[in-house]
Amino acid sequence: MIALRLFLSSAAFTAVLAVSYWLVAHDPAGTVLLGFMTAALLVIAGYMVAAERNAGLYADDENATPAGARGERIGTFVLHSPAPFWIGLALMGLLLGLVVAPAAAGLGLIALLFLGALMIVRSR
Amino acid sequence: MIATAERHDILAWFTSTDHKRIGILYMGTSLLFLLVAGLLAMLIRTQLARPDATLLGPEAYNAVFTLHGTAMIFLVIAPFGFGLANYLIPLQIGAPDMAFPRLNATSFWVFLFGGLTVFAGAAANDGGAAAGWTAYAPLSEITISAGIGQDMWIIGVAMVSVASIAAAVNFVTTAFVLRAPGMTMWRMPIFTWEMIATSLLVFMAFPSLTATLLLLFVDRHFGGHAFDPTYGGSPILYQHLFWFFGHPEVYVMILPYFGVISEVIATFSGRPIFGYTGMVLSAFAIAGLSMGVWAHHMFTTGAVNDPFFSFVSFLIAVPTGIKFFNWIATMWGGSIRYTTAMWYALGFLMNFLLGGVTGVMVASPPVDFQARDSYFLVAHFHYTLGGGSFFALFAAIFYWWPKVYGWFLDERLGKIGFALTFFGFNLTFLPMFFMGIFGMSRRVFTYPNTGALPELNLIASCGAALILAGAAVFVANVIVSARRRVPAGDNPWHGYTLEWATTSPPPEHNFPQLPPIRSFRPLWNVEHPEAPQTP
Repeated sequence: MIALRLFLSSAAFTAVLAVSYWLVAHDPAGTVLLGFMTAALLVIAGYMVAAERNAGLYADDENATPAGARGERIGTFVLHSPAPFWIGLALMGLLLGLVVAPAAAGLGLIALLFLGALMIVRSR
Repeated sequence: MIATAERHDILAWFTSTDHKRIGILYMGTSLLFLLVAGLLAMLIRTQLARPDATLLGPEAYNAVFTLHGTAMIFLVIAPFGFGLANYLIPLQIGAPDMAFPRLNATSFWVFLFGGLTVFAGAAANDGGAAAGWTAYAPLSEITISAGIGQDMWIIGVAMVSVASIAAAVNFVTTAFVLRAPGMTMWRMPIFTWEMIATSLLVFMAFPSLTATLLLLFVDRHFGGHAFDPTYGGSPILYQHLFWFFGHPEVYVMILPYFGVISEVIATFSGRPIFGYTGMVLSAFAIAGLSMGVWAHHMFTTGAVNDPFFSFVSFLIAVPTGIKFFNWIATMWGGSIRYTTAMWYALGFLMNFLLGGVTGVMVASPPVDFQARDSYFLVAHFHYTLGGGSFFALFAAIFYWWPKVYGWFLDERLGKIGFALTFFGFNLTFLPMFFMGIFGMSRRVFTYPNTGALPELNLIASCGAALILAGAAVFVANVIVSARRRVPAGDNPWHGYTLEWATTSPPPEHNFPQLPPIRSFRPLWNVEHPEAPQTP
């Protein structure tokens, strides 16, 4: 799978970069940053290995046709939801509240948790 | 596929999760932010037109250039690319929408409120953020920048960072799992590939920005001393963390526009893009290498290994050169149509070349030591991001506008706007190379009345006025064209990627019917079923 190879090769590249950087510069800050980057890419690659077990992507078949895929269930695509707008507002309230009014931060946090839960429930 | 009914009232824009509407919202918001950032740039150039100008004092000047830089980098160039990606990726791969529509809408609203927080901070009673778009510690620490404006800057930019990560997750997931039957990875359009590379960079770089801003916030309000040297903190650590994000961010701002230029040049040259595989691989080479060059912004600190970062920085010129030669090879022998979009693409090539070449120059530590914090650098990065991304942004507007709205922008006004912008841009920024060589420092509200500096600054300010005139012509173009509404049809430019297979504007869930996909130019295969198929 090309996508998996992409993340694995990126992880390999950053690992080489991290090692060569340490050998050349002996700088812990930069080496740790590059190391974290390698780890993050490996986590994504690992997730893809796990997820790919259940994935049979019709798109990867070079000879597949739209007609052949008719009726295939590819997901749920809602066209509107009020939650995203309010999540943006609540996040701003939470963060600004930390500076100007702790009560606003509390309200923002509660709103954020509620809206997040709502979105998860609606997504099922 | 299950869909819910679309709303068509004004509230629909606040609740929509349709990728096309979110794309339009992203792009429209970015253009409004661009208008404000452009007017701030005019303030800067008016102040600098003469050495003794008094329009802005030093504090106000600091706040203005901070807001200008922040807006252009965080709120205009990258988000416009995200808006394009929102609109185009599902259309280019034959998907009904983005993989996570609600997350997609959330990304936009978090971005918008983040941007508004940044701008609102500028109006704070005790002054807006004035520590530059880099907000270097300890300058941005509470001991020096005590005002709430700096806090709002941190909060706003952090929100934009989180929104960018969420958007990148959506782009990658959509491109990986929602491709239409037959749209293999190696048949995806170059723009979509460039957005995957961009998203990878966002994954790797933006968490560093979010973490840095969080640490700075903790420093300012919760007694942390991560970057405070008086308590053993390290300002150099701030620079490491910031530039670990900051340099890849440059490519987050340019890779989407490389994709735009590839599409525009291929269409208006009447040829497939030259070296498709090379274009894709070079995007990932650029993305990968860009993660290893962050400390070339720190050469003069004396705290980093200059040869390592210099060498890797030089290497980036190789994949970028591949792209450049491929664009030229695509045009070579083609039947070039000089539309407004193509003119902007050609303007991009000329400007970006100058920005790229001077980038190679300052990747050399001896040159960087001379050019650091001078106007030479200001000219260099404006040629890459202004002359590069900004011109490609307008190429994208003129190229995809008929698809988005179903009618053309006026070509004659478009070309007049391009000419004003192109000449204005070069009149503004070319003299800045010489200002830098003559020793003018960046981020200063005045300069000595010696040598050629006054004349060069006056020329630059006149150029900025031309750019403003070009922007005014663009606004007039939109108004005039909206009144005329010359119908564009589904495929007005004779493009061969999948977005041109649907109606203009596209319907809900995009495609009434998909054509068979047998190459990275599926519409060409439809027109020429007898011809041998490209991969």
